[in-house]
Amino acid sequence: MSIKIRILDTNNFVRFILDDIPEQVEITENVLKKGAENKLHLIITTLAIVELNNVLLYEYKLEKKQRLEALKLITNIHHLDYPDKKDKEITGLAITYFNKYNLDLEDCYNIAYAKIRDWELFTFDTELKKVAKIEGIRRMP
Amino acid sequence: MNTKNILLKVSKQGQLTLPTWLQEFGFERNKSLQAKINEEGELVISSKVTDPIEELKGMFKGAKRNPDFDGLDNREARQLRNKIRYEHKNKNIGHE
Repeated sequence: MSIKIRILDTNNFVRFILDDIPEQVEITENVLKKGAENKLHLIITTLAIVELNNVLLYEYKLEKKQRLEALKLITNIHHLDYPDKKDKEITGLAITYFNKYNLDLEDCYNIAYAKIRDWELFTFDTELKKVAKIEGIRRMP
Repeated sequence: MNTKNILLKVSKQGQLTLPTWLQEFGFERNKSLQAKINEEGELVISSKVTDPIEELKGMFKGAKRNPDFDGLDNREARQLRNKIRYEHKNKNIGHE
């Protein structure tokens, strides 16, 4: 019998982290545990990770250190998979850049994609260009 | 037989400094591993096993929601987040 694949929404993690709606927290916990028991194949997208960071930042005004802690824990859930096999590595590197530089997580993802895929970065963002240069990423204009 | 030497640095407090390549597997430098010499003179490396799911659950319980988002549904909240972000982002590309 094949295992069902279930993609997780940003909101699942927001509720779970804030523990503010008990019934939704319980459902999320059960789903995560079923993933750990290989009863479900759980997927998270890079978009959901970025959105989670933005919800915690703009809606709950959590410090970067706190958001980083949450993001690292999510990437440490071993049974949580990504749509593309490279996404886990790219997410890890994006979070490393996010920790290291004063950039938005979205920008850190762009640098991480460029670094890991050996792509050229095309941006008008001066801060992003500076970091790309430090990280040895080809860029234009 | 092929062998590979790995340099592990252990502080006087028994903390282990991991090579960079090991950190890429999710081990955090100076945090998750401890090293000590036991009574038999063996080097024992141990890790504190934590469950990220347990740590995530309620880790920011009680965080106050920004009142600007009160009464907004998911889509409206997303639009407001994007608006705030791009006001900041535009400064970096010269569109103040």
